[in-house]
Amino acid sequence: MNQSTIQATCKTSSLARLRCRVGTLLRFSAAPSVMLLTLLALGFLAGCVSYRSAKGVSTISARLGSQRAAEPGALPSLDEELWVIARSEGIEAVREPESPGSGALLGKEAEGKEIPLPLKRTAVKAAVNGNLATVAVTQQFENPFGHKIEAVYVFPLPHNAAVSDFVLTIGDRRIRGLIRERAEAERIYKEARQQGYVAALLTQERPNVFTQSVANLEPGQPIDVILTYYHTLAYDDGWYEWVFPLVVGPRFNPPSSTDGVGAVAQGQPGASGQRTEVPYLRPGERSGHNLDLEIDLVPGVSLEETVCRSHAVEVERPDPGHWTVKLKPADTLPNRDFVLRYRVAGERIKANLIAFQEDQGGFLTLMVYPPKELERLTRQPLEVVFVLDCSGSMRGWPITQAKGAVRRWLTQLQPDDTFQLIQFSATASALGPTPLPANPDNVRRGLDYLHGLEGEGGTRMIEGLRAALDFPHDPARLRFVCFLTDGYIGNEAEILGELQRRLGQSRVFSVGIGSSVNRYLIEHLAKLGNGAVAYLGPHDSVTDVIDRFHTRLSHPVMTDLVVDWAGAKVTDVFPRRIPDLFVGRPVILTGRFTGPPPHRAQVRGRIGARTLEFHVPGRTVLAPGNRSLPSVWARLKMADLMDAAVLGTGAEALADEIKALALEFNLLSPYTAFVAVDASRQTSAGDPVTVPVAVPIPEGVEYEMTVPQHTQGEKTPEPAGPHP
Amino acid sequence: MGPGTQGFACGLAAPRWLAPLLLDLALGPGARGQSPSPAEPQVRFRVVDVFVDSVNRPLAAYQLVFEAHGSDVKIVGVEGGESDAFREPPHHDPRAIQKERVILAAFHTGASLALPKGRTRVATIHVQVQGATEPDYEVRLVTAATVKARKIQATVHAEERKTP
Repeated sequence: MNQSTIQATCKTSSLARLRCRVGTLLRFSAAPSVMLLTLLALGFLAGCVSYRSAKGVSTISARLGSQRAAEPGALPSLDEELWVIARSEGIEAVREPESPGSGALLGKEAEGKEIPLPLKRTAVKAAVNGNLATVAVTQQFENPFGHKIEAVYVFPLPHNAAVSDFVLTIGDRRIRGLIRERAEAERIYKEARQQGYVAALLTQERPNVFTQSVANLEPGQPIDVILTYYHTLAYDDGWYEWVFPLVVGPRFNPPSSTDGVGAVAQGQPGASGQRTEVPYLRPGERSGHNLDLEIDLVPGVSLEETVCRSHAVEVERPDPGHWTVKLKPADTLPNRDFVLRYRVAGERIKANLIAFQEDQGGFLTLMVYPPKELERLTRQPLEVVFVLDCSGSMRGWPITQAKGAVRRWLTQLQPDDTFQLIQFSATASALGPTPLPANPDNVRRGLDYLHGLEGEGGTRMIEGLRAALDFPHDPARLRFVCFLTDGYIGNEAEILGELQRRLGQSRVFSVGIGSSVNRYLIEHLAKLGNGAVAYLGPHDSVTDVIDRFHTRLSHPVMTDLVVDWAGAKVTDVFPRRIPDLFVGRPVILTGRFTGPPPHRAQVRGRIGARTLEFHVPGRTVLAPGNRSLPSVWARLKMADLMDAAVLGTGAEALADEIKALALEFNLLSPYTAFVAVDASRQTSAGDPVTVPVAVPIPEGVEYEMTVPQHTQGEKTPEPAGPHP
Repeated sequence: MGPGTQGFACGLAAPRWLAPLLLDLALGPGARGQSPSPAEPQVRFRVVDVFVDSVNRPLAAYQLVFEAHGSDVKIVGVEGGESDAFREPPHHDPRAIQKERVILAAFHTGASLALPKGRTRVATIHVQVQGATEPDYEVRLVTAATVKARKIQATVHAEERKTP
């Protein structure tokens, strides 16, 4: 008999707890009203690999009938030709713009109208407690065609999401999926699909890009897939930020790449030649995909203000200490990140150490806030290298915002600072060969150079990265490299590996520009570059964002942080390399311990030549009801291993370690996947027709500049990639 | 599609060695280790219902272990039961799942009237089976309890569902 411990937490008005051990009796509190059941023995982990064939994809066409989509949710009517694309192994792609299977007819007939697609609704319910969020995402699929289909939907989640639960819902039946090694999950799914069973597969293509596949959707039959994840919230200068990304931006992939995330026009599957593909609706088309979003906010401290610049929301306060934020029904187009910020009372959150004690140890989280005196010290002279993404996806509003940010920043440099401007698209170029003193004449030269930059061409970020990091360094100054980009690339691992190899004495600061930026890349540029991150959305003020960011950089940084856990046996603390402390931004560490929990943490670091030391008192929570922390810890460990893997050494062993962790903690990862099969009923005979779910282009991004229009026989984009 | 009912019933007090014997007595020697019919694919999907019989006591909580033997069986889904009290899919231990063994647990603290009595389906296991023979399913009840956390006598039974 398995002797693992199972803990059940019974949440009543008094939060009574219930525990039981395998082989022992359950003990209940009296008359509890609401209950949460958790299993201590539950592991979490996840990873995935694409379900698609490594041989690539090919297309066949299938005629579904002469039908028209009359209204959302209705079957296509009988006076319209509809063609959808099926994906099948071993059949070479054949695409003719006006032929069945090209998808062109569908687009043409539906110009300016709703495109019949199988994803009807996404409902997001988030519960935020302190800095931890538990988020349930329901994706409701419904087949609008007259033939059974397989729906394939590529979608984003936060890059630090620990996806730990997956439930397939058919009518009132709910089937919990299981985490498996990715290849095994893909085999199970494929077999179930071929035999006509309803099945769902969830894979991870990037830390923030996922694929949901649902096989054998019968006409008119709604099927929900519910996935649950945990993640931590960012905290910055008194503000917490909760983000839910809604669309994957169109990404550039280097010409030789096949493992990227490709952008294709709706109805042209396989055209990008990439393993993962996002089909985009053309201008004037819409999908009928609706969004519901609701956040329960229990910050644990007084909340002073909520701000949502990305969407229209309703905020209510049902009781003290509890807020609800709901998306207004008129603002449900899923074409940009949902960003909710809220300010908590008091000048700042205090440093704290919380240990979650279980039978044999537990998990801990330590938040270290910069010492106050950091704000009183002034910085050394800087050497700032601005690196602007001038690719096609930045054309229009994004490049205007980016130029505004650099303009603002340039005018705030001190006379003893130096600067340089580098732009990259298909190639990289610079204002000059050496750093320029930030005097009025040079700043004017910089502003003139900036004025002439436009967004066009591919996103060869690696060129910009090399140009910036290889730029001659003045050892008398602190070197800051500042990237301003939407991060729309598919070769993140190559970029991050190159960054680690060339970083030297530089610190990298990244500013995400746009409505749906690649936050994984933006965050990791700063994380691996020992810097900080900021986001500039379409509705944000350049002045506010850049001034706040600049303030952070205008003071020295506390470096070389070391934590002494006061004798406790603390291991596996992540991030493994403790980040430096900047003004206004705390560092959060998560680890596990065995034996007694630490009662305090002693933190030591350097500010210039000085050594500073302070302690953080700890408190212990016994048998916590919230099981999110182990998942968050495991997700952090996986991220740490992935960061090491991008350097290319020992990648196989690291992959094995990530996989084992994912299986133990029931988490999605690049090497694990969730699969669920309803084996109780076979659908009608025949293979389902594959229908990729097309999505809107992100707000502010120009479709023509980012989504290549392929013609017959053209498999991959021209060398410049999806950004012509 | 299925080869017929297979099952294993086990009361809390029953010695483990009795299980195979009881199964054979109940189903006959031909019920175990059957081959799939020639028309069936080598990789096939099956549904196994898990029942708990609490006789006349309201069942508020249970924990059980489900295993499959004798063939290459992969668990591909865990579904809730027939009673509203156990409608949600039970939680399971993911480490056990990797060895195709499911440790399931669920509890409900609603009014006793809402709790099932007698024989009730508490879960359904969806499996993928590969190989020439049909698997044997074994299920063991670890514990069953009332809403007041009192242990109750109960039996558990796994039964492969006949699908059309």
